[in-house]
Amino acid sequence: MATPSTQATVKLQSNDNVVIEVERAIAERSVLIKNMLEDCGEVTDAIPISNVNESILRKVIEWCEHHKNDPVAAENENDDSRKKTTDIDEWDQKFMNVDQEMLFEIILAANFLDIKPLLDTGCKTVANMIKGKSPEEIRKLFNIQNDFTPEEEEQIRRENEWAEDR
Amino acid sequence: MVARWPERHQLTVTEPPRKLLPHFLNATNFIQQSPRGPPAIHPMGNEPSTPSKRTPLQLPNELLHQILTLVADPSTYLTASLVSHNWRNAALDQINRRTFSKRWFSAHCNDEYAPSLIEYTARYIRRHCMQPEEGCVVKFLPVPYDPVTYAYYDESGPRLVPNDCLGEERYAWMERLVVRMAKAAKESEIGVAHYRSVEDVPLDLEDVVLASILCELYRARERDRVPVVEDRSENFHELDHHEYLIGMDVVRNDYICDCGGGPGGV
Repeated sequence: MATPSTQATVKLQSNDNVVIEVERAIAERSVLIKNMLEDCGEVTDAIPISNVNESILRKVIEWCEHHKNDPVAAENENDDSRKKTTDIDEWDQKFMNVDQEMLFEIILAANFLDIKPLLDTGCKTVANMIKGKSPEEIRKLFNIQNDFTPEEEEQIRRENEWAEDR
Repeated sequence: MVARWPERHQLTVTEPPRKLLPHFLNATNFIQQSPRGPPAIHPMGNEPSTPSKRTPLQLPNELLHQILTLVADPSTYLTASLVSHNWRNAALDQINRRTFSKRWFSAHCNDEYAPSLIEYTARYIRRHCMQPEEGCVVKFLPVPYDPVTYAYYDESGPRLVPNDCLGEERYAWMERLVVRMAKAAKESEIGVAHYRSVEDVPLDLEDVVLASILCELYRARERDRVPVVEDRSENFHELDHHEYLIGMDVVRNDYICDCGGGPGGV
């Protein structure tokens, strides 16, 4: 019979086959893992995290460890509490101060593992990166190709004029 | 008390300055007609053919949408619509626009008194824009100009809100915004009857732009007042709040518009 509360740690296996043992409470910051453990009861084998490599997994675990005592956000998606602020706390800012590739990997991992507060923090970090930048600077930053014709670009610029302080 | 603005102060919505009224809401049209065909559904606008396994931004569209709703201000939001077709589609998405607006308001207008009134005012103006009887819409740009007499419009001048409060340009900007909202409401399929009260009105980008002007003014005035507070009675600061906001209070509590849509109801 499953007795989930007695299991203190779980093993997570990255997609490059590294097994990391973590406190169950920390791993359960991931809703995906939490649900899995609830469904399966005791899990002694390593849980394969197929989309995440070791370095990102360690990074995500580091975040979960730091935030293990945070109150769990309300289930309700529309709840305003997680949307109240666009600020990122200092520890998270430092945590997110990584190269762009890693930042995106963290966001993808948070999305896959269903860790909403980490996903939010990552998305906010990206959102802050584009603040005050021109479209061209944003394209450069994210290596995006400009697929507008000059006419289209001009048209959109005109359309957006209403919001400009002139 | 029912505040009334003299008839001559009403601004017509039937003759908006054309070039200032882009059809942001319908602006996807030209994209659909684009000879390039529909924008590629691909992470963050990178070319689908990019072979690299680690192009810098391989985030699913879903996450692009989420990022967009978290940007700091409306100008960043609009800038994002100029990045690529993919980003533009995300920026035009009505759910994203509304989510962004909702977040912006809950981040910036959650103070005790003034900012929540600013949100209310934005909703109120939007609500009235949805029933664009001539002249109704811009009757109240709710900024009092005289903190001593609490006057919130200039009886002798040609405008509802005098320029010395907002500055000529800023005033014109707010006017453009409100006229634009009225026009969008007129063209929108959803009529005013859909929203029973001011609180039901969904906020959009225009509301954010409008409210950010009001918030900025409010903060600026708050900053200006700090040294004054020291010399006065304890209640002075509170009263000053009220001075600034009395125009909004009037809107909220007393003003019954000619169009029949009073505060809080149809």
